[in-house]
Amino acid sequence: MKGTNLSYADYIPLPVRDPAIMEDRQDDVHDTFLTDDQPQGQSRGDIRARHNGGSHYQKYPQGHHMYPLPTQIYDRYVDSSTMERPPKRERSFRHHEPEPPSDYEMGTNVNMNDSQDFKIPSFRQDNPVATIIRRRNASSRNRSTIRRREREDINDYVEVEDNHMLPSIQIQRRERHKTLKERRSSKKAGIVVSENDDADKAKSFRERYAETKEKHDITPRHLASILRETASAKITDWTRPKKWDKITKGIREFFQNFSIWSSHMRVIEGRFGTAIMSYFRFLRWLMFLNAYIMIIQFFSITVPYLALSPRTFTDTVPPNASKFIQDAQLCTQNYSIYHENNMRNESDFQKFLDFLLGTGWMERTVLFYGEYFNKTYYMPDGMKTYDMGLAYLLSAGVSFIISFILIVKNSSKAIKGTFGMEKSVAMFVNKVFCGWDYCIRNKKAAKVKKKSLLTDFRESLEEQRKTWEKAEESRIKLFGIRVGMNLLIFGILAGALFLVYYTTDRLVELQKEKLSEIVALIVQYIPTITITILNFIIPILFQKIVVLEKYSSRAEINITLARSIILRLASLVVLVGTLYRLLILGSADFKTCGNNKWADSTNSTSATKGSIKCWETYVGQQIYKLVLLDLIVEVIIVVIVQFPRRLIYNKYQKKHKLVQKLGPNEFDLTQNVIDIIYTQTISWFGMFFSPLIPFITFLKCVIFFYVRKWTVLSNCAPAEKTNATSRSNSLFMMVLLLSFVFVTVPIGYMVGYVPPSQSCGPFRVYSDNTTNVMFDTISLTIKSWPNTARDIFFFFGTVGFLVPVMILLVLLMYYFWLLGQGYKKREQLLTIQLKLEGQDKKFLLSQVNAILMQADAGNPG
Amino acid sequence: MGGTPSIFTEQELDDYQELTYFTKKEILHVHKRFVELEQGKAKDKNAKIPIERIKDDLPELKVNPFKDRICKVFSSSDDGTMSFEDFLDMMSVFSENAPKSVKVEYAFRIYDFDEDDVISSRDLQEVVNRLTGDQQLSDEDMQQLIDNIFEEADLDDDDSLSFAEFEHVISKAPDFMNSFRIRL
Repeated sequence: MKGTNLSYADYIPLPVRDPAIMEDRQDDVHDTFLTDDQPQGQSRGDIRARHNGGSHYQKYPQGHHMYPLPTQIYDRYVDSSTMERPPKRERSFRHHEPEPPSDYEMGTNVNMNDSQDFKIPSFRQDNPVATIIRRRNASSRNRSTIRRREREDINDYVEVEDNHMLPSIQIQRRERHKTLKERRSSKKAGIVVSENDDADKAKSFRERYAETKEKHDITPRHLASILRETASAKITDWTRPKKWDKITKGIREFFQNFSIWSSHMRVIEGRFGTAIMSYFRFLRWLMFLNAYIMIIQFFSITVPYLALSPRTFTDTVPPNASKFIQDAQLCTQNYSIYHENNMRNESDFQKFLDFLLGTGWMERTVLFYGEYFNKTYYMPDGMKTYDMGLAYLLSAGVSFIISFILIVKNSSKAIKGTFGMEKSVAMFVNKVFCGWDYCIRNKKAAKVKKKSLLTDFRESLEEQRKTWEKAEESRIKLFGIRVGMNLLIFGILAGALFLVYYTTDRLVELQKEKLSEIVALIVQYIPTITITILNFIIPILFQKIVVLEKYSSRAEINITLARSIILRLASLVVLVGTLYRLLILGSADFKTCGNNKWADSTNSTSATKGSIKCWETYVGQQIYKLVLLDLIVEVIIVVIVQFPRRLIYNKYQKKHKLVQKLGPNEFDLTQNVIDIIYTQTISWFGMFFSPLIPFITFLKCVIFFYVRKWTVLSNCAPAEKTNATSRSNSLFMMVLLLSFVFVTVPIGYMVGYVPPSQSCGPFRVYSDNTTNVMFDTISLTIKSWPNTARDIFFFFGTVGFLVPVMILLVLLMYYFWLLGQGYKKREQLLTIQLKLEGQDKKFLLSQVNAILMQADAGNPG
Repeated sequence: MGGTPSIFTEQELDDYQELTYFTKKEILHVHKRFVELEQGKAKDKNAKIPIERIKDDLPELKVNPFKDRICKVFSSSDDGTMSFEDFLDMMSVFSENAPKSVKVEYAFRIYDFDEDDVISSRDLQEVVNRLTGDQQLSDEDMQQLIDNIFEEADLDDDDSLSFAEFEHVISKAPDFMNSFRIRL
């Protein structure tokens, strides 16, 4: 053979693809199955080269098909052996089929001209050698292209031995294609021969080999069957431990009795896909969370309080009580006189207002902190005290811990699938193979889904092309816009927060003045209304602004979400901060009964309007207002905005352009999630000041579910922008965790550092106005324990215990981090190995081909 | 439940429970849906339903662009019918509790249109075309999309996805478990 000393690389500059395979790909297009009007011959490299303009891909000349890593591998092979050019199948055998013009062809034609003097065996079905060559040579796809022609039936596929496949593939395939019936029969068979099976399984390949060798000569056929047995023993299918399986299923069956709303979810899922459904699932999860908290609060605080005696705080005070308790009694009397004076001439309307404000008759009910005090219960051997303070602290603590555990459990479920792969997500695979929601049941939804997938594909491809272009000057301009917009948003945020601060601050002042009932109501609600309105309007502004900044659609969602969350939390921070400044800061000298704003006159109602006699209850009232308003606003938005909008849209969508432009309602997932997380945040925050708020939130979740379901199903059209379910799910949890931490900090601070009111609440008996805090209840309880228990408990709090524990935890964390790093590295190595093996396979096949060719050339004809 | 439990023996239910990802209650529910598909005619547990009936009367499948593939993959006999066991198998794979590995296997088979054990570029094209429905991507977009997918998933550069490659890349596709699911 002439000219065969040239290296592989000389023929095909930086080749990665075996040219034969490339051609296979082309003629496959003409095989069957698809309409052929797509130009298939273009390879990846071409497309990219065409789009890239001035990008980093330019270092490879146009029209070549190469990727950095494999090129090196090939070069290595090429350098080490001056190998013969791998044969190309004669092109003539498919000349009867029209060729689509392609860049690739142009590239290879040159090579063809160079190698005119090759004698290339033509491919014919009836030439067994050539058939094998082709099958081995071509990618595995081509192998069965031929087979597909031979038999169409998938069942034959499984049953008939296919010698053209590697044994491992055959076996895997057979296992995978097992139907339920086959699994069942094999299970039955498994019971009978299970002992045999175990012994069989333990045998290694070597043992099997030796065994067979004793009986017969080793032929390839025997070898293959041994290989298959070994491989099938390794493949373990349906081998979960049976007992464990049964137990978990039993548990599941038990809990299925309690699952609610699943039929609603199915309806929603069928019409709007999993993303929207995940919102409702989240809502249901929150409802359960609130139900647990509610049960704890109910049974440790409210029920004992209502069931046990005595009726009033004064009755609990023994005649020879300590100074603290006598002080507390005085303060309490003072507070109740003040309260009764305020309540005396209330009209019915005012009573209704009280319901909205949590004042008047509502103020001194089990709804708020102030009402609770120690109770006693009677045992056969005498009287015992039900320590309400302790119950209060413990139930709050347990509620927080349960919330925390549930959040972590739920988010770990969500994160497990996605954590650490933000960078390595196969975006396009995700879009294509996970694009369809299999749960969609509605024709219209399916149509919308198809449309949204189309736009999604187009947009992301467009985006990709844009990143290839990377125009410099426009980037600077864009950067300028973004900085400007961020400043603007900062300004808006600051303004909004100032407004919240200002209204809360003024509220306390305005309370002192005598106002008509309605005005008083409005004044009372001003800070909460401000917060709610801001929360409603500003996110819409954010959504408009973010469009100008021209982020990618995914970043757009995340950025808007982040900004809205900052707004929500910050407005709450300001509210809490203002309340803190008003109620708690201030010199101790001016405090009366633990309250800063204790105006000291008990006879005149007007003079004492602005006084706060129990700051915990006051905070509770503020939060109660927030909770109530939140509910009202949610319902009102549905009734006043979404419902009419739908009617208008349905009636005028064809007549008016404006209406058409506005479009139908869409369910804005992120905003709704923020809303519900906000609801939960207030619930946690208010839990301590008003033990029944979790109950209200529980009801709210139920109401929200039905209202939302109604509005989604009847008022909203499916959104055309897709939401990624997986990300949103872990995102919800992250945000929820953030707000949880945000809530626990001030509550923890209050319990540990702020002296409680002496005039109200379960902690009044411990308070001496300046130094004692709520946490003292627990210290006192522990001090009353037997010595050993107490010592053990205090030991947990010492440095000698905490420091080693901290070090241990840090070490553990470091260990797991290392482990994670190790896995990551292992994964990279394995990926490279997989790639290398693919290359090796191709290289070997080309060598086999070369040898066969030589043999062919040796005896032509 | 009114008589439905008597269709299966306790042993059968146990078997089904062990071999699927369903509890007994769910299995009975699946059977109820199966019977409903045939308007109550096929109460017998060995009854078979024509694939067309399942394709067009099960709401989830009716709108699914891959319905013919799904039915083909899950039908054990080749006579265009599905038995209850096939149906149960299908619902079990699509259920919430089926592990990822099982789902991936069936997804691979569903998307492997020409059943040659690899997902080739033509398979991909078919998937995308079915996903986008009547309107289709331009040739250029399609090629770019397919190239992107191979870039992400095709480790050995043979322009097709083997099962191993598919399984590997699905582990990087976070939406898979959520989308490949039919609620009972």
